[in-house]
Amino acid sequence: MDDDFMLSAWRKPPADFARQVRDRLHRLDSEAASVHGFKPISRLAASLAALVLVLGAFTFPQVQAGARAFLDLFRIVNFAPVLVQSERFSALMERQDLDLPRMLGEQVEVLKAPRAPQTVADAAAAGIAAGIQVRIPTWRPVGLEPQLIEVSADQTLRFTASTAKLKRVLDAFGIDDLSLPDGIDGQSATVHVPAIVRINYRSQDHDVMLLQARQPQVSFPAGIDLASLAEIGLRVLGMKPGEAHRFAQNVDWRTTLIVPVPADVSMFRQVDVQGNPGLLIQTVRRSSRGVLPKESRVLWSSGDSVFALVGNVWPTELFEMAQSVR
Amino acid sequence: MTSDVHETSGSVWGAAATEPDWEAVFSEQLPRVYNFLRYRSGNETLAEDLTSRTFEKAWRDRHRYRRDLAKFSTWLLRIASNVAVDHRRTAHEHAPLEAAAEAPAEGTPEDEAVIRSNFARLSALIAKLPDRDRELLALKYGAGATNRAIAEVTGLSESNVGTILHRAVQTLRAEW
Repeated sequence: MDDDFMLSAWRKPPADFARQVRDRLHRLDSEAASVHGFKPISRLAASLAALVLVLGAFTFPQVQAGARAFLDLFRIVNFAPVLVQSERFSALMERQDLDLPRMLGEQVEVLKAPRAPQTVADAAAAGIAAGIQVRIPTWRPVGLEPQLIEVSADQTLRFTASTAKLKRVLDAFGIDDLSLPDGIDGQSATVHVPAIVRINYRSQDHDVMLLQARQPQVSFPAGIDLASLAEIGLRVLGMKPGEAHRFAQNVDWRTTLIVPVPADVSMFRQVDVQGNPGLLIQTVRRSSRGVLPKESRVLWSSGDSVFALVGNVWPTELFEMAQSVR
Repeated sequence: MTSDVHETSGSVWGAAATEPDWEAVFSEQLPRVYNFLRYRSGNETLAEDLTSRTFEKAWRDRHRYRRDLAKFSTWLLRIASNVAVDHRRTAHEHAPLEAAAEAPAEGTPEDEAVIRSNFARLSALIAKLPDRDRELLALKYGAGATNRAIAEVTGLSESNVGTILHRAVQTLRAEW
């Protein structure tokens, strides 16, 4: 026995197998191309819970004069990403003279506080606890297995407008070409955040989280000019004046959730998830080797439910999972 | 097949590329990775599965590859080695190795059958060796790696690699 004999068992990979691997790599390659083709934008809040906070931030400038509030006026159908400069907010939050966290905190009242998340045995139990029919992905990347199912209790928050404080915020951002609507002072918007089901999936290298809940219920005064208020919100988020005006006028604010995302770290594209508009976002990190993928997120709504998938798998895999949720 | 992994690995990189030419990687490295895992596992079907996993993992983790630390082929073989280790940790010992131990030493006249027969018998003998020896034999004869490249993959010294391989082949020769 010598080297030649040891090598005599060597053989070329079967052609069919080689073709399968090549096809798979090409598919991954095209997936990467689509990722790199994303428009540069933002990082989104981390979960559906964060999504609810975004909703809160969004609804805050909607508070308007008027007496009668009604439920379910706002319904998430579309997701509209808006680029924000994270350093702009960081600097603002750190300004001692403004004390924005305290100022905003004073305008938020917790009507129903959330309890600690409850761990349940399976999706059926989660559905009973949350009062929804829990859906799960019928396709997962190889190795990704369910690890934990939790249900967080519902909560209700009320936002009350203060023109004086809003004016201070506008001044802090240097926005002097817009004025606050008359009669807004002291008016309230209420946000009811339903119970949220969180299913964690894990493999050796990957973690994915599926969050689902009923549509949040938002009540706010009737007869308000949502577009004008939204324009103020968009300007606060950093959008340029002309763009904010056009955007505000062309969006249906009763069905569109603004998703503020830092412009410097992420990429996104709008997608169709089972026939519903959704948003696919990839967060990235910057290194000496350039911009590298970090985490992907898919947001979508279906009927009376809102979904978010968050994980460190490839965006196309996460999207495929989203498409398989039944 | 027997060309030096260490020396040829640079050809998968374009002139000013920041990523490897995957077509070149595929053509050049697939046979090596496949045979490394074939020699390593003694099972052709399993070798195909582990090879697929290796290439997918390499593609997904390509941003972690640092050209200044290792040749691409060395990096790829490390991934293949880890994939094989992970598989052994999670899978039961597969039957084909035991079955192969009873394979006839003489095969049919057809080349393919001879190769299969030799491989089956060789796999059965290799399976009896210590895990480290099996790893080195697979790198040497499956991946076609030089002792220097094997040293880089395994962390052993080049001379140690040579010694272990020599003894392992002697053992196989005695058993053949």
